[in-house]
Amino acid sequence: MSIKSYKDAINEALLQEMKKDENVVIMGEDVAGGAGTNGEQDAWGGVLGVTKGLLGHYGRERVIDTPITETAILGMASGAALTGLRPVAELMFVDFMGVCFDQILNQTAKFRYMFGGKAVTPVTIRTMYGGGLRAASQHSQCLYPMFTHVPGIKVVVPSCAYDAKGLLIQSIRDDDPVIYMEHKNLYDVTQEVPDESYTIPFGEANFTREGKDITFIGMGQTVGICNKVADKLKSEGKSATVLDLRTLSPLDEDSVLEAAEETGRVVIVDESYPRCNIATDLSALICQESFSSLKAPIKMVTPPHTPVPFSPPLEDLYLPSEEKVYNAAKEIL
Amino acid sequence: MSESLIAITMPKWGLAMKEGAILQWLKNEGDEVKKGEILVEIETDKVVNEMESPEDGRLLKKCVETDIRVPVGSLIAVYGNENISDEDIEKFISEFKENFVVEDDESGSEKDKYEKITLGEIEINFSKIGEEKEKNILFIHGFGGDLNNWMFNQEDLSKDYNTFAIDLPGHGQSSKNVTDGSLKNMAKIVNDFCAQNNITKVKLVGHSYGAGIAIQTASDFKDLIESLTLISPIGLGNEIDSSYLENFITAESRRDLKPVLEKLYNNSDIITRDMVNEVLNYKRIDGVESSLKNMKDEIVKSDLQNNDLKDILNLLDIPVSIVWGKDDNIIPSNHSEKLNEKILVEVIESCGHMAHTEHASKVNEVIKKTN
Amino acid sequence: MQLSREDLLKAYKGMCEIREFDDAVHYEFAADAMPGFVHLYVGEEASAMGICMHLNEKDTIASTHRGHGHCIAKGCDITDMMKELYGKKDGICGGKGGSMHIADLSKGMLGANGIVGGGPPIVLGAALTYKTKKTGNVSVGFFGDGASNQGSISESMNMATVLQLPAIFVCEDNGFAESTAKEYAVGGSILDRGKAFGLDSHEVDGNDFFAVHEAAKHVIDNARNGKGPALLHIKTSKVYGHFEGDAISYRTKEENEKIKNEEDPLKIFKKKVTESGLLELSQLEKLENDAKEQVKIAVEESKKADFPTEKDLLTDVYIKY
Repeated sequence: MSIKSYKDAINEALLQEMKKDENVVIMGEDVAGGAGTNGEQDAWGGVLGVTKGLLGHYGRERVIDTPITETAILGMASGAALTGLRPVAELMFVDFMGVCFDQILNQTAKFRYMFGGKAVTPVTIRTMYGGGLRAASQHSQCLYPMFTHVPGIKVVVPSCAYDAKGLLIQSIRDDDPVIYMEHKNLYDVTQEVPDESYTIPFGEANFTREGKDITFIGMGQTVGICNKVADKLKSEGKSATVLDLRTLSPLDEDSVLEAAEETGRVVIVDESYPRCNIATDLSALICQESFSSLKAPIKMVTPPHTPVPFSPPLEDLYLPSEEKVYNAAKEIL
Repeated sequence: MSESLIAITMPKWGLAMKEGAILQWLKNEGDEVKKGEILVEIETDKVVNEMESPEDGRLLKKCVETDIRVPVGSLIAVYGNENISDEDIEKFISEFKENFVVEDDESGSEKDKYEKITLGEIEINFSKIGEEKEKNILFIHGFGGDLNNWMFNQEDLSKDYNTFAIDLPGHGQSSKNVTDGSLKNMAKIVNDFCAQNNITKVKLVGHSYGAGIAIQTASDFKDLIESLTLISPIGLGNEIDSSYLENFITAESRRDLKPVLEKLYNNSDIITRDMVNEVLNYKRIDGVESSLKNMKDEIVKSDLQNNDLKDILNLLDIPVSIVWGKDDNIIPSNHSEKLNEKILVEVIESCGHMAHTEHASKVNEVIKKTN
Repeated sequence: MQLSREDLLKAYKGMCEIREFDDAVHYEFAADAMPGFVHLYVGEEASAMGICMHLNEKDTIASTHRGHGHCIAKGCDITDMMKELYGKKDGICGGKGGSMHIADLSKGMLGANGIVGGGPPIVLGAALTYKTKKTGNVSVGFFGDGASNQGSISESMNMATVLQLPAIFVCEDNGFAESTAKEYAVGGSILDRGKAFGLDSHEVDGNDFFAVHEAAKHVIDNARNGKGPALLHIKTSKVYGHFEGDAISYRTKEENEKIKNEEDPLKIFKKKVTESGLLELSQLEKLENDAKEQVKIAVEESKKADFPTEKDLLTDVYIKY
């Protein structure tokens, strides 16, 4: 055990899995950096340094800097997975999915089904998502609902350093294609993380708080917001359950319903666009399966249906915040 | 006046505990409370447990509301005799608060509170509490446990002893590479551990599989062991719930694991989601599953116990005590019968396989008495 | 390069099987006996066979939506393929893929592809596996003149050069992207695009099996030996339309006749080998008849085979979910 950041936890997971299995290779734009230059090799280690240092251990044969060519990166990763490697491809920002979605939507996610259950495609696509860095409309989106919509791929959204490591190792070892989404605001969040390799199974949501009065459901970055609001309510004498979904596909429906039924009051906090997102999906699930246990309408805290704004005050208004979540809770408590 | 007042403080259960909250008072202001009676129910990050009164006395004042988290060592209640004025009580409380310093524990990492030593291929994680005492105690947990199992014992006994608690190989934060789970091999590790820590004489306290290791250690390294306190030990009869071991290894989800862990306790309400999660997190570390399997194969064979330690135990020429929960679901408490009469046996009512957590102060008393 | 008699027989056998298979599909589809969309390879047989004869079972190909020929040339079972086209449970993909997604990974066939330009990015990955594991294998990505305009093709050719992958890109240029002529839709030249990305690029007469076979040998041998990727621009013709049911009104009657009579790779092959005395006409006719019989049996068995049932609806999405 030692204190590690979310970023370090991801790096350590890659380092350990590359050591354990020589079929694990990583590829993407500037995952090492400095390829073909006269300057420093491993110049970047990923745009925010998440893969820094791997080049020194495993060389350019296994830490593959690619051109800026997202379709080829994802296609290459899934083709390599189909033929015996266990690649981890990096799509620098999930927003860039716009130029390469076919590789997931029509290719990787469907191989197994279209080929009658014979394909095994153990590819992991790491990608960065989410707002808060003043990165504007094309570098801040929270697009996980696009992937939960597609059968055949698993969608993983770690909320903390412990989960980041265990879920990434699980993603790499998993024989199905996985998109592993890293919220850029979480990279420096720290936590006790085991030094050994460990896994967290998919489809197991995590209760980060337990209470009797209200239930918050979050994913990725919004879990931290939910935890803070739960702690604030506790000081006011109200106890809250917080459920971290951890993976959005598969979805731990049992825990969602259990968490909702425990208190009968539910606030779902989702940073993705509000139409057909995770919050609406969970809301429908709870209404369909646990309607009689509800004591108040389900509240959804999401951004408005607009692109992510650039200007700092606008982006702050756009994103779910502790204040918005607290206010939503107060409306139904 | 204030000398006649007694401060009751938030206990520290395990090295990681920084604060706790009182869930429920079981005594009212004005009640006479006997040492060992349940005073309050306390919730930490990890567990909910009952706190026994550390002293005899009259509960004069409750100092903390329920559900409020306060640091370890904070004043939670004041005992004293009935003649003390409210003014004096208030003065006592404010003096306590003025002098109270929250334990500076911002070094942060749990790593810093544990120590590690390397014995050949394996690294052993342990905690040491208490220094410069005359005598040593070493705690050895059972199958699937870790040194935190002793959170209600180690801190308490550290007032009188240098206490060591180890994570056995394959457990806690020790290496997860057990290929040989035999008692002989584990006993050798215990001996090596003591040698490296310059412990020449030690009281061993072992639970279940750890108690089996303790017996083996006492037999193989006679000069090292001063006494044995065995809690629900293996090796004293045929019966064991082997499905517990099997299900502990195979359970993959909270849903599967919770009923397994509940078997350990008489009061299964003690099992929280957090506790189940901690065990799951442990089980998901690389190497744990195969280590556990190797140890299980040492403990059971064809659903019966694989070790017979009765003769070894009866022949030991050191003080031995056995504590057993009457309602132990894993190993029946009647295995404590028909032993050498020099052995002190304490069977505790309303208690399961985990006497050292369910009835910690009784177990601690037995450990102290085993001389 | 001189081919052995065995190789020549193997080549003609494969071309006949492809021809008979897709001719049968043409008639069956017209008789409304077959569901879905089918795109036939008739007229392009020399390309698939000329290339795949250089590949072993560990080498891989990724195909197009006009993929039956590639599948047969790479060794997929004809009856299993036919069952797949009928949507039967015993089809090569359990009836879940159909004509556009036929795949048999055990034969190195990484799938036909319903997305134009879908195959070459996958081929990059297979080639990366071979490079990383130093297996000496190659991967071949087929695409059409229509797909040559997709970004995926340009990206794949560039990546293959950057990483020096054992990848071969084969553009089967039949002159039409659906109903639109290449002369209209392709700016510049496909061959030049390959050269611009640094690929060893060659133009090949796709109606001449021998030309394809020779060009393929050159680039595949080089790729196996670490000399990097290549592009073959194969000029060929499709006899039938874009899909079955296409009236082919974008071609003139004369053009259609010319394709059938003068550009048929089977006829050209047959003429060459018999005139040069390499094979007897009777040997070739036997292969034609064998193929016809084999396909006839495949159709009969496929019609009799069972459809998948409700319990097959939810399977094969994930390995574990």
